[in-house]
Amino acid sequence: MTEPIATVSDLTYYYQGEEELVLHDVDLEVYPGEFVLVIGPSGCGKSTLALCLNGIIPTVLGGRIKGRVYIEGVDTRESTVYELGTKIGIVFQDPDAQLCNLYVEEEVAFGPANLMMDKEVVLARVERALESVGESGIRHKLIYEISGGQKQRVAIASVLAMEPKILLFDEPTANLDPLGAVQIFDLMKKINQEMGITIIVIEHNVDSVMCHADRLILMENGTIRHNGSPRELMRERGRFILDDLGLRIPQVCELGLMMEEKGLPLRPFPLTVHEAVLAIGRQNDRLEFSPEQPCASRQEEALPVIQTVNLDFVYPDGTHAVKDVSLEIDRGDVVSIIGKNGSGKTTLTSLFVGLNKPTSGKGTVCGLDLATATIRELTGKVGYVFQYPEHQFVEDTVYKEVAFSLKAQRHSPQEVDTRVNQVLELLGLESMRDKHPLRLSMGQKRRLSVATMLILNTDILILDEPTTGQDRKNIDNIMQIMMEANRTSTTIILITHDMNLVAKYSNRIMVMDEGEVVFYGSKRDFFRAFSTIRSSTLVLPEIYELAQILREKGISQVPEVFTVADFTASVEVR
Amino acid sequence: MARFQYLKGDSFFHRMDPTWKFIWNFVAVGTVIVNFDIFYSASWLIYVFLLAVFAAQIPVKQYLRSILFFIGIAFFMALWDSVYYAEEAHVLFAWGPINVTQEGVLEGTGVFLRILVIASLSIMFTLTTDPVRMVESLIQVAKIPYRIGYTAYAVLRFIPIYENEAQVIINAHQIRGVGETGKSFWSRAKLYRSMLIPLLVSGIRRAQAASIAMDSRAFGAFTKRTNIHEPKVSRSTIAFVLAHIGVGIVAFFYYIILGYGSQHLG
Repeated sequence: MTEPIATVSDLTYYYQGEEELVLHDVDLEVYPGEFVLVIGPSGCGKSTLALCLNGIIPTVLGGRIKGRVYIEGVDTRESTVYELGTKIGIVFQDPDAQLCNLYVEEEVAFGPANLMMDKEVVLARVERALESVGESGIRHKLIYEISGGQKQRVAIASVLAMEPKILLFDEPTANLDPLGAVQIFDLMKKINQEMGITIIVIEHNVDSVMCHADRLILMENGTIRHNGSPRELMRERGRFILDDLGLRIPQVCELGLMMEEKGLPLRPFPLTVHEAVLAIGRQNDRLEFSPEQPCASRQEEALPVIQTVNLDFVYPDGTHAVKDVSLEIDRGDVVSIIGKNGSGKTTLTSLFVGLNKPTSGKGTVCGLDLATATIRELTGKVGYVFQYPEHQFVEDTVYKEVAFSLKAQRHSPQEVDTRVNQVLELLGLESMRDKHPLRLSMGQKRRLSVATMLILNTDILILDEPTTGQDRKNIDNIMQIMMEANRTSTTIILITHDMNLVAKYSNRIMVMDEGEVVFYGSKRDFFRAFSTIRSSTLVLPEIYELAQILREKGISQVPEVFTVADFTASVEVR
Repeated sequence: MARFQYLKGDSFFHRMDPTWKFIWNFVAVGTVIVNFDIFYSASWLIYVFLLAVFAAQIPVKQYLRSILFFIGIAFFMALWDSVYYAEEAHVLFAWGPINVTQEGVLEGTGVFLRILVIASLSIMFTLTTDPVRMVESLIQVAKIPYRIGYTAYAVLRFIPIYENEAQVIINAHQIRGVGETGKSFWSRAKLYRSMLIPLLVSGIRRAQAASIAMDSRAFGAFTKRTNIHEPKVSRSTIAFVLAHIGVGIVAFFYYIILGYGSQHLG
């Protein structure tokens, strides 16, 4: 039996000056060469556990700690952070916060240079590390010139240059676009298999990483709830993870669970699209798919709320962020805007609320001219929920926060009070009314930021990246509220990287690339035209891909489906 | 404020090592102030202007825009000097209690020219020096402790990120109806006030994340670290700076030690 490379025994931890436990009774053994995936709701202690593993806790951050952590048999409390740095490296979510040099080469050399290795050794390590992340070409570039995905690979290389035995990732893909995320996961697998480095990864976005993992660890309320093989845990605890913890599981696993409930267990329980294709292929004679449902056409006459003609916007520094955009968004539409980071999605929507004025071209929002309407006039029609809720808060209690804009519009105090109470109740925030907005949990902050916009009853709601760093329960919660608003004809515009969200909720999809709208059409047309759209970042949702492969290979006549529920609704088990 | 910001470029001055450039700046300022003669200062002003335009390739327009700020200050100081000349002097004209004297005007002009030379020197320095290279050079050439250097790095690196984030927060608050137009003085003041706390909160969080990321890559493990790039100071830079040091020594000897300089008249 091999010795574990990392051992956590009976670990309990309180942050400095805090009464509440962050971790309690954590026991964990990780073996050399393993690929371990850690999931759990926001605030369950995952990131804290990561910091305990690399010795930052308690050496740097302090706090009260009970229990022991051993890395390669050495107690982290008796080691130094820099010694641990050569055994266990960590990559974080925000590339801008973890890169601290000017040039890529210096960044990768940073660790070994701090350890005072010889110059030749440092340079050789830089070369090897950059090669293993496939970025040798950008060695002499400036960090601020490279893309988000490249930054994240440089961050990985800079940790690899320390030649650690274990690599920890704390939500490494949260800031990346869909393809960027898949590439990072594939890189992890490569590092794991070719270099034999043990991988521990904390993620919310698990669709493309579950299949790589040897072991899945489920954390809840500061401790490890389940620990086992991903396949077994998904099959046995998938429902619990999905419904009770409100976490994401890969779409094919969700399908596996639903098929099992329909009386057709897929074996082996699928973790990838490929496995699902095989499992369904084997059971094909027991499945009967209903023919394609005709696309439900909208009853009411389309009424455009946003219209633009040749809209152009150039930033003062010369960045041409929006190029020649002509489009029409109709009342009651749910439009998803997708595309690479920096493709102009946020800038385009900033024109709709008057934060920027078009450089040329024309546009109207609910009849208001974009060139002349003020922010105040436009925000009377358009609500805008920013990516980070903290950015939008201006008051010191939840109640005042929600009341703020209504008061600014000079509504009577009674009316303000009634409406605020209604909205707080709708979003489940009544018990938080006197709390400071910044003291809420991630999900509550997100709901509050939505509440501040929802209360204005605007015709259009724009959500910028509503899913960043959120678990599934929070996302579903927000989207249900959005769909409720949509039923009363509110137009919803989503800016997102989350292709599952796009497929589930939107009826129209817009793809942007380098400031241009390269595709704009119905969801069905989007997925049919998928491979021809000019954008280097899109990834198909697993369930769509599965149905497509089944159809193309002639295995079964699956209709076009966008969600797991669509898939299971269209199939009968004989 | 593009008036005093680093301008990208590839001139002799852009390529010069910042620590050496700083030494040059210091020496030049010293050489200028050893003699008070108007023609001496004027020749320096012309020389520095020519350097700025040809050796540093600063566009004349940009140079004038930057220097304009100092011209105002220099003018008032010069005026003050020429009006309030304390010694006995030849009165050019008098207006009430104000006597404008010949000596006063000469001294005022001298002050004016000196300020402009010193201002031009600092403009040349700031417009041609990438702050990040400055820090790099301070660590490698001037040998300041790397921990201090990296702190400066972090500050420089975060500035554009914070600027960007501040703009996002201002936008978010404008949409909420803070500061309405964002144009008048009061609305801008309101926006800046409400921006501070969110910016601070995320600033602290980011700084903490950065320091954890650096610590876990052995930052500060030893008092020294390996430099993967030997500092490159070109021969022409060294020659240029040494030449100015030479001129400075001669000027100092001639004007101060031998006493040929025209001293401050007051």
